[in-house]
Amino acid sequence: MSVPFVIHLIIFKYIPIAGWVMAFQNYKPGRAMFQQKWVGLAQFEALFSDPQFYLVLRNTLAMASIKLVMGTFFSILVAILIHETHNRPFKRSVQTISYLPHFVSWVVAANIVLEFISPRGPINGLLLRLNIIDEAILFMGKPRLFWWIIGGSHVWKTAGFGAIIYLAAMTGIDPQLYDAAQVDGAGRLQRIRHITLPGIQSTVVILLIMNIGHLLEAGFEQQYLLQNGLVQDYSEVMTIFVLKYGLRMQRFSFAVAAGIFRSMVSIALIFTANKIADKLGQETLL
Amino acid sequence: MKLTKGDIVFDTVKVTMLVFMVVVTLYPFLNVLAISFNDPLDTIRGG
Repeated sequence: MSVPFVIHLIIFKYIPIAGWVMAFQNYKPGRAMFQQKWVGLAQFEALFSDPQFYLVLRNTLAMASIKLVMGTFFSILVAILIHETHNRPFKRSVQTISYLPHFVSWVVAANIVLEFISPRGPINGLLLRLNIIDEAILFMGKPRLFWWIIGGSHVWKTAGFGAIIYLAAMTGIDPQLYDAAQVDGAGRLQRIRHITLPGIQSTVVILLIMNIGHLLEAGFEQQYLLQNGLVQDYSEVMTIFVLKYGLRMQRFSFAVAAGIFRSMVSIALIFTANKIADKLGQETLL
Repeated sequence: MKLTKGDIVFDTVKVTMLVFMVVVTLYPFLNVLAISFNDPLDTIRGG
């Protein structure tokens, strides 16, 4: 049953690791792999002495953390609200509508977001009408706001779809627990606090561990499509960095070195998160 | 099952939040749809 997936994993995830030798060479296209010039750790030195690299690392970690925390929080919130709704048609429509943005690709979604927060868009219109601001704000021109726009658009696009897995975990909770709690006089909030949340705890922990492994992949399309020259110092993430200063400048070895760095940190993060979960007596992944 | 005061408050807050979520999710789509059918000059003026 799992054989095709293992083969897929070997072909697409393990065999390409052989390409890591490029990071220790000065790769020039057209020559065979072992006729390249070996340069030792020079590519890594170039990477770590690049001031741009630390800026990019900061942006990546900041945006990934914002997305992780906000995404998890709002997914759980949506799941709880839907779980507590018993009117079937209402529940169904809310759920379907909340999935909707997930099925729109980032190319389209980014333009919808840009239109929504543009100076002549509805957000500025609302703020102007409520007299909170005197003139329209160019949100995309404020570097400090960029991370939160990324976080907000991430929540808008994925919270509904992310809620599915938590809803599935909630349906696994024994309904007798709710009835018993009600008989004992627990209110709705108390039932959420003492039954629903502990019921999905292991799912949350497993998903957190998995997502922490992706902390250095804050995404590519989202930042690439939403960024502009004004917010560049806050919008460039690792993936964009690799594209701009690696692949586009024909520095393939440099790009691979950055990729290795990312993989190594991700592995370390996953093991650390797993260890912490283990220490806290939670369900673990490994 | 009799509804207590707490239940009513809870349900009101819950439905408000869900309706807010639906509006926030759908509004950007409707906005873009409206702009597509709108006169470009009107859109620039903010209408």
